[in-house]
Order: sequence, then structure tokens, then C-alpha cells
Amino acid sequence: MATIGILLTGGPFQFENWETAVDIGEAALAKGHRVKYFLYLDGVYNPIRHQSFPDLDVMPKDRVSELVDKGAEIIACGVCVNARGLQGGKDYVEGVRVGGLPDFAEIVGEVDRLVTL
Amino acid sequence: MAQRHVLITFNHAPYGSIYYTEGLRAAVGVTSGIDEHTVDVLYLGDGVYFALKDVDRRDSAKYLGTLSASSVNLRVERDALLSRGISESDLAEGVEVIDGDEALELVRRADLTIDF
Repeated sequence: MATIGILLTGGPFQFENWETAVDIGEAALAKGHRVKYFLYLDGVYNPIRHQSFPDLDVMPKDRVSELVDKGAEIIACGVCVNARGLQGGKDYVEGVRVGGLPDFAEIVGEVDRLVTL
Repeated sequence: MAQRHVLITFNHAPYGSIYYTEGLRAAVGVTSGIDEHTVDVLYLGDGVYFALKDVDRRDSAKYLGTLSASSVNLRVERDALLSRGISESDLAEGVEVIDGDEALELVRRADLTIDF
């Protein structure tokens, strides 16, 4: 079993980085690997629980929730969260933790592979 | 958990996005944990514009200072400079110009790479 780290800087509804990040994570989890995400920059917008968009059946936050349910660890950069007015991430879906770059440094020390998206 | 050597590459120009300085914040952050990871910083592609001497670095100054205090040099790839018509005399003090082979060696030496 390997541990995969994913640094996601892309936000939802504009670029597809978040979806690629989720797909990679789901595939890794399905094969029994551990997956740890660090959400950085606009990546911190992905877990907001109030998302709605008429052209999408599944919101990014729903995919994030599924990842949490499947065992992924997801940490959002606190400086990025507060810079974007997200008030400590209190509007996040359950299971997403607000942390800091020391958490990312910890992920760097744990992973077998790191993907930047 | 283990100490890792991480190569941070910058491909984005220092305008049009925040990657140039938030990437440096991440570079400093990577070194901040209990594992005491080490980093190299390499500018590639349009990222080399950050190495020009007249670039406004005020928002990155504290990260650059921290990296410098840890003896982390800013390196730029020579071909990226040449293809953009940038001469070494246009670069800020302390920037190290390296060839493509040396850049590849940095990749080989790194346990992990992160691109901004």
C-alpha cells in the first residue's frame, strides 16, 4: 500500500484540476492506497457546502464528501481559507480540516508520490 | 515520516497569477515541519521573469529572506533565459544560472517535485 499526496491549487467551476485530483484520489483509494490532500490557494473553495450550479449534477463538494467517506484525509490551508473570507472553513462539508503549511510538510514526509494540480 | 528533499519549480510568470509568491510561501512551509525537509528552487519557462533584477519582490521578500538564510539559491535554467532574450546581466544579484543537464540533476536528486 502506498500513500499518495495531492496538492490542489485549482478551484471549482473554472478549471478541471479539482476533478482530476478527485479522480486520481478515488482510483488510488479503490486500489487500497492511502490518499492525503492539501488544498492550497483557490483549491480551498472546493469543499464549500453551499455550492450549486444548474449545469452540474454533482458538485465538487459532493465529490469531496465521497472522498472523506472513502477514507481520504483532506486539509485546507488556513491562510488561504481566511484570505478568501471562508471564516475558518466553517462552511465546509464534514470531514475537511483547516490546517496550515506545517500539515503539508507532514504530508510531504509521509507520501510515496506527490501530485501537484 | 521522513526527511525529504523537495524541488520547487516555477513555470508561471510573476504576473497574472499569485503562484510566484504563494509558491515561495509553500517552499518555506515545506521546510517548517518537524521532518526538516530541504528544498531547491528552480525557475523554468515564464517563471524566469521573476529573476529579472527590476522585478518588484516586496510581497515575496520575507520568503526569499528565509530561503536565503537557509542557503537556498534561486536557480534559473539557461535555455529559458535564451529563448526569451534575457541576458545574465538582466538578472537579480544572487540568481544562479544553470544548464538543462544541471536542472535535470536537480530533478533526479529530489525525492519529490512541486510545480507552481
